[in-house]
Amino acid sequence: MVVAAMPTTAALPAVADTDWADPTTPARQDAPDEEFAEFVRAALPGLLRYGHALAGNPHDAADLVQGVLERIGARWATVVRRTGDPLAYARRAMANAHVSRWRRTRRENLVADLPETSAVWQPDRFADEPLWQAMRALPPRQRAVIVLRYYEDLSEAEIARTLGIAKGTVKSQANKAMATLRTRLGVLAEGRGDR
Amino acid sequence: MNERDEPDLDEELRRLFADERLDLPVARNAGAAVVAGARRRRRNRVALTAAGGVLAVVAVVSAGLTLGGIGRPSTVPAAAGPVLTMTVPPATPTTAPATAPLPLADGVLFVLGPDGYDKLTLGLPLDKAIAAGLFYKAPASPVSAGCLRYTTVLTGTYVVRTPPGASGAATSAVPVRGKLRVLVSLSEGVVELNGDPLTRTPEGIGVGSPEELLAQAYPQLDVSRGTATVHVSGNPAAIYVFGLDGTGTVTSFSLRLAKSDCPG
Repeated sequence: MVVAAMPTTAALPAVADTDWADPTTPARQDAPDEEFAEFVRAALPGLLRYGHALAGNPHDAADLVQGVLERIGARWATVVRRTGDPLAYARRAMANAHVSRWRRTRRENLVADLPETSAVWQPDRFADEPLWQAMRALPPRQRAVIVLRYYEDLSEAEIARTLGIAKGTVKSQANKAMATLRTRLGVLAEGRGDR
Repeated sequence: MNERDEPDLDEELRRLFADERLDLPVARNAGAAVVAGARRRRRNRVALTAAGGVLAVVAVVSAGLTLGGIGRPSTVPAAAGPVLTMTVPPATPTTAPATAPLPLADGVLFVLGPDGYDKLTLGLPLDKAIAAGLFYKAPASPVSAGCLRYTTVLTGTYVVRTPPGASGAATSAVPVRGKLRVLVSLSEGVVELNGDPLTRTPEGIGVGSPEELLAQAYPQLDVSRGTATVHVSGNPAAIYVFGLDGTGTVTSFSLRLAKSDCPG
């Protein structure tokens, strides 16, 4: 993993996840890169955390952050000039990438019948958190709406703008998500016998 | 929990998103890696914009396997990999967006099979693959008991040559990167190699191929419930598994051991 240091399961053989260098990139520095590097240093912890909330597991979170930051860095001057706030732009881009990435992943997984990595990732971290478990049941767009609303504290209109969907869709997605969460929490509580 | 009303769930969600367990440790070289990735993307874009005025180009592809974090070849020998001629769809030079994606969807870049990809072959024991530096990151988690998923990065150079008489640079080299998702069994070694859109079978089939071409390439194809499988010519122990989306296109493909304990 490049952007996040991944904890590994002790019993499994693991590869050091230190610098995997791109062999096609010559070592060369210039000024815009330094400015972007500074931004990355400052923004990474927050974006990884945000990505974790969006993606639901550290592995996808790191991929999400890395992809979005690379795209932003590739047109850094333009992003700064046009948006004025690269951090906000990065977060919006991540929410969108999360939604579209899932479409791609789902297509692959549907046919290859691969287990969802998120479902088996690190059972210890949020194992005792029924709400986190329940959120696994949400399709990514619904999950994104929930994260934008409760993590980012965005209004319905802001969420609609961010995801490029209608306000009514935000409302219906949020309602569906909340209903699913409530149902899942009920099922999980029943499963533990402490309903 | 059913009797809880909405304000409680609101509160619970805010509490969850404030949880410190959401924090992820930042890797030591994260900043440098991101900056390098951004620079690579910028260069690719510039190179493609430079080639944008040409209607037909000849591409020579050389591909190699990155030895994650270990090898750092300064050049990829041009003769090391497959060479092909391809036609890039016409692009109008003045309207080509600056962020145009690499027009590689139809290009054969990385050929998967019949044994695997380069040194990464089916059945290769996990410790040997790791010792050879074939995986660049540790698996997120076991897929199932005794089965791990790794990622391997493939790098190649995509050389765009403008035809004689065209204006602009005669040649531009674009580094490209592909990915293989690798399923490894602790007991059986490498069990499955899952190709990305830049990889193809030796018969030229990959993600995005029309089903007609798939059927032409593999007359013995066995299709059932959205999946097509076929024995790999030249490797009796292996099969290709193609995912079909029902609209006539291959959506995924893997080279895998015909018999394995790891779920596919």
